[in-house]
Amino acid sequence: MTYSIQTKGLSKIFGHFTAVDAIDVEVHKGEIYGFLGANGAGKTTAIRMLCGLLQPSKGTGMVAGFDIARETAKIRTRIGYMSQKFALYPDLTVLENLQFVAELYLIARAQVKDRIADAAERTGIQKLLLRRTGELPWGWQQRLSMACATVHHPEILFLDEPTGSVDPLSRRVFWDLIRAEAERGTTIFVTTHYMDEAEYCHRACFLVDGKIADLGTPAELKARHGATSLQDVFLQIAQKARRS
Amino acid sequence: MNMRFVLAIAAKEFRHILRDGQTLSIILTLPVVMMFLFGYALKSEIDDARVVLIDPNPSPASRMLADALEASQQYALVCIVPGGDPSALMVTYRARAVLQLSPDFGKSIEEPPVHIGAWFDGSDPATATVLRNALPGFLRNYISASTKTKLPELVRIDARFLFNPEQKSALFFVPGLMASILAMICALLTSVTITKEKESGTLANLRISRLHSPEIITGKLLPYFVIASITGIFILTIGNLVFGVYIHGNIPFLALATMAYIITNLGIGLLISTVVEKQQHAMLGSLGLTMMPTILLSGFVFPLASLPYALQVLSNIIPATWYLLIVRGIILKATTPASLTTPILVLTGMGILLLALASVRFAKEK
Repeated sequence: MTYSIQTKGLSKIFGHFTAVDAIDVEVHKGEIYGFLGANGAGKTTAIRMLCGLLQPSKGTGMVAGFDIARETAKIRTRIGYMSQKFALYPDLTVLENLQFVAELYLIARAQVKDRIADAAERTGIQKLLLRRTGELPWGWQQRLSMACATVHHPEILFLDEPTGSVDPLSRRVFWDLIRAEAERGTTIFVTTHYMDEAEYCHRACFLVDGKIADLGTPAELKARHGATSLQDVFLQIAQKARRS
Repeated sequence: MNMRFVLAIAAKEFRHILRDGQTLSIILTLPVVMMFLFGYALKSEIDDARVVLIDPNPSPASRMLADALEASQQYALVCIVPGGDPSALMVTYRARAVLQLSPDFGKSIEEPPVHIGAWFDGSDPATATVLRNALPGFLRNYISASTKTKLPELVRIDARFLFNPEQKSALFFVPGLMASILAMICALLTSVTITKEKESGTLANLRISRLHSPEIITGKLLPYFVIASITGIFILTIGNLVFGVYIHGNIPFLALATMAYIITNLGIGLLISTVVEKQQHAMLGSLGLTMMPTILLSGFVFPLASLPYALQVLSNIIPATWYLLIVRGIILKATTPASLTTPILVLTGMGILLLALASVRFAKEK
């Protein structure tokens, strides 16, 4: 079995602080893998290492078949990344934001138009292309952000708390987009601290103090902890945390 | 380096600039405002300086002196008093100068020497100096005219200014404004635009794509290089059309030096953006590191020779010091490029060093 993402003993140490402590992660192709934990648990540090934005201190990791320490350039063309900050340019139009990203991923000129149309359709923003991004409500900016992160058809999509400050309805709609993306064969690696969202994941792991505290499908996790929701599972696990 | 990346970023950056009406209008109006401000505020001639005359014993001669003061463009006679304390008079009449005639002024003018006491308002040293220097000439002219006798002269200095014979202030401020406005545009705008992308998280997105730092840097800096170049041409054009400043020397060499200067300041801007995280800090940092030293320590406003030794040494590491040598040389003196070898080499060296240092720091940042 080959994995989209596989790490062994991956760690990041800042001075005396171990942000991520020897985590082993295995994510299957096309899987929605949830990375759950409180703020400060090490979620963002882990995701940044996997994307090649941060060098690991210890351990190894393979993303899309490439080493995260040495082959970051190759990894970057095969992944999409969307952070809690949408990282869009508010003064550019929706179309200009998409065009810029298309340039960054060196999509062939002849294909740019089709790829943008495709990404806009998938995320339902095709009617907004000429609007200025900053004028749009958060929910729509989030969809554009998703369109930007997938315009180059990445193998793996990293979502770092993608639903940070969006209303519940928009979050629901957004998760429909994430699932549709997974059904197309894209591996989704998503971090969140909304436990209701974690129910949508195929598998989820709980990160506590930089370590993986538990891992499984939502059903397995609930059964193991005798809880009715992942929220309860999270509360049980989080009580053991030393940090925060 | 992939040019498609560079152009994509540069095009995006141009869009940001063109859509940000406020910044754009500041970039365009600042040079014009500064030039007119300097052009009209920084005149070395003084008009209608208020003068009080103390005349204890009025005579036809002192009456004539009062008329002469009245008639002159430089002085405005506020009043004539028989006596009083000069500093009290200066305050009461808001005068710049107080002239004290002796009781025997009418007689002594027939038989020089004539003694006149003069007090100047030292709280405004620039005006006081100009008035002080101009007064002897004015009095000499008045005395020769009123007595119709030619005064014996002991020494006659035939002084004249080379390179700026009319002492036009434009010739002084156009090079200085070139140096300070270009420094501001380059350092301020680049450091702000990069920290802005840091704040919004878009820089992380650029780094996560397949872009390499040199492509990001070139793409980000290119628009500001173009804007700074246009601004430079703009300043020289206004200088020429409005203030009559002609470039006497080698224009291609001036262009080359200006490019080196622009690159140096872009390097400073980039360097600042690798040190700070916030736009406000970038703004303060670039004002402190470029505008202030450029205005105060480069020889633009205060002559280098009048600075304390430590500051003179410090002025050597300010790019504007070297750039001013070149600009003044080329514009005023038609200095040949060959004799400006040292400044151009220092400037180019600074540019390469700063840009390289900033690029390395930028690439290391994650």
